[in-house]
Amino acid sequence: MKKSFVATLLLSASFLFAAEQNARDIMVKVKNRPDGDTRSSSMEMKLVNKNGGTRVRKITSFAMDVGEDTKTIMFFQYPNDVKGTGFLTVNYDDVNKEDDKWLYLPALKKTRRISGKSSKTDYFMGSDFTYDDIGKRNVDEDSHKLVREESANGFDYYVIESTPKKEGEIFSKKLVWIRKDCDVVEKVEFYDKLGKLHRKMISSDIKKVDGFWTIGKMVMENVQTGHSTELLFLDPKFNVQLDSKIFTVNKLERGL
Amino acid sequence: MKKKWSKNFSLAKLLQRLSVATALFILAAFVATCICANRAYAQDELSLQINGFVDTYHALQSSYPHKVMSSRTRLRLEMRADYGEASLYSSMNLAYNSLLKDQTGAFLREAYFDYAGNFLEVKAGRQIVTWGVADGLRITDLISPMDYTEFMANDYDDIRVPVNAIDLKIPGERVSAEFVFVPVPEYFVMPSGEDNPWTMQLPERTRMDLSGTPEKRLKNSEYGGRLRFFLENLDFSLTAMRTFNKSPVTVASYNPKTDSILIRGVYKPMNVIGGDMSIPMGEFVIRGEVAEYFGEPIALANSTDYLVRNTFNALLGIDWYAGNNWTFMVQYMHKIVSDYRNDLGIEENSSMVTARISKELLNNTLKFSLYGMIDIDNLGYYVRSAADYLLSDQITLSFGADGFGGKRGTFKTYKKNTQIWVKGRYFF
Repeated sequence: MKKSFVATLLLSASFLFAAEQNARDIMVKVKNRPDGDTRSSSMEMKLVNKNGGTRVRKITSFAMDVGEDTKTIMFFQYPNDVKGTGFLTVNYDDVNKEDDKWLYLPALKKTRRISGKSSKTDYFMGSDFTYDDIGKRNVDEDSHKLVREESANGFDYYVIESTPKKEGEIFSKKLVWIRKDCDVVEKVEFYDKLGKLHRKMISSDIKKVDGFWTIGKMVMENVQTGHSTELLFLDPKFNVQLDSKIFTVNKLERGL
Repeated sequence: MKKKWSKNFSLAKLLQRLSVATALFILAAFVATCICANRAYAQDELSLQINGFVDTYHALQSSYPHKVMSSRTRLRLEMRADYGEASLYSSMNLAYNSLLKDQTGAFLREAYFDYAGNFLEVKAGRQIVTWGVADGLRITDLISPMDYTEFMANDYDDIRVPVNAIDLKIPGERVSAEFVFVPVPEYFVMPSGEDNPWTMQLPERTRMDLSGTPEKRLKNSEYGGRLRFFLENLDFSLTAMRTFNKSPVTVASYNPKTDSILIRGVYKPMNVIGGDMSIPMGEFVIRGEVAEYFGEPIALANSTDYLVRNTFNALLGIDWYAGNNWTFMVQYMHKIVSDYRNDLGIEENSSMVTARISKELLNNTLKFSLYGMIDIDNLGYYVRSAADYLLSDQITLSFGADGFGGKRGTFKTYKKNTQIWVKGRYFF
């Protein structure tokens, strides 16, 4: 009796470990979904408050993979009060390494080295997306659990629950819906520290561009404040010819 | 006849000297134009952008008699033409100032030609040069001086004075080298005129003359270079330059014939070696700057003369990106005068502290900020509190207050200038 109890416990533990491992593998697959070695796109963000008032942000961005790390440079194009502002990031795959970040402020004509840690959890340009949502969060910053598999709208999904390993994150857990056919995240629900639904993200216009699965539109809604952000990826390009000198402070200061 | 010939000769010499600087300008622009023309013809087309804003700023003295401290409106026009890797940029202000008549009119701020080659970048013309990592304090950021027409009540980007310069840069991924040549340096603009509430009140029969800036000759030009490094957990740069004390040292002399005192500004050349660094550490970024000024003029305590001394200048700053749109910045600046004498007008060790706190709310549409500067030696302070609200993508409304006070020094002198202000800005 005692032996069978221990065996059941071990079996359950190994299943749990396998499930967790399987969930992590799915998340790794999502993160490593082919997207070319270089990318460029224009982004348009529409910020909508609960009264329906809108604000628009336009950004041009370029990205390049260097080994497992990713360099990204963004130039803010609109509105004109932030036009010329540039943001350069080196996103390290190593979970123990903090990202390198520089911000160029045209009004001061100065580049600031900024903290690689804190801004990840801050909202990006007043939107409902955090810097982390827009960048590539390291898979091992969260623990993952495959909650269920489900079908809807003619597609099959994995539903994975991800819980941050470190304190200080703005969500206590998130539920992620991943389309099985293309490893694209179609829906995410972020829960706050009290376990209440805080934000909800839905991707749409999922299609192949230059042979790579890509998202055309993301909508993030803060269900607690009623504020939402629509993010359109316009003219995405993959494997474009980019000079590595684009990803420098010098380019940041020169602008587009 | 001899006199006339001699005058012509001096003029010729002057022209000859000036022409060296001009020739350098033209040569740099010509070389860059030729290089860019070759590239641009192949694949690029001309694009033109026009942007700018209209803003209006009004300030009122907070204490009796509640004088209007400032009332100005301006149109800022910024134009940029791109052609391949080359561009032309200009920005100008069309301003109406109801208090300061000499601040009404059209003023060119920047106008430069820019070319970015693979191995060399050239920026020639009127431009603002900013070096270093300090926030609002100057240790190595010495090329573009400050316009103190309204002391510190203006926006920081309006306070910087553009210079006519050639800026050459060798760009790199982790290292870049830069050389700046300014044929005719610019100097601090100090508040002047009876209609300006920021003009320092002088005793009777006292006159101030700050016009004695160095002659416009090649030997009085300004030049400097810096090497910048951008590493994984560290940015740093090394700087060397030949410049001037852009903020004049004032020396008074008594004229018994007219029974009057003349205060004149002294500007002297000085060499500077220094550097800066930024180190991100978790939620913090540590910033630092150091510079040795060789031959900085310092006025005597009795203001009758000045002495030249080497000074060591250092700054340490900590930025805390606390998350949730909170930012805290603190800086400590220290100056040490070598070969110190007790009759000098400043302490052997002097220091300044600044702090900045800001918080953004309502999806970054509302920003509260507080900036403070403490002159430790004179126990003086300056505080600016502000609230900025983005009414729309185009319109920003701001209001705030500037407070001055202390025991001694400039901040105490400006105590009566404590003010409240309002500003509106429309971007197009």
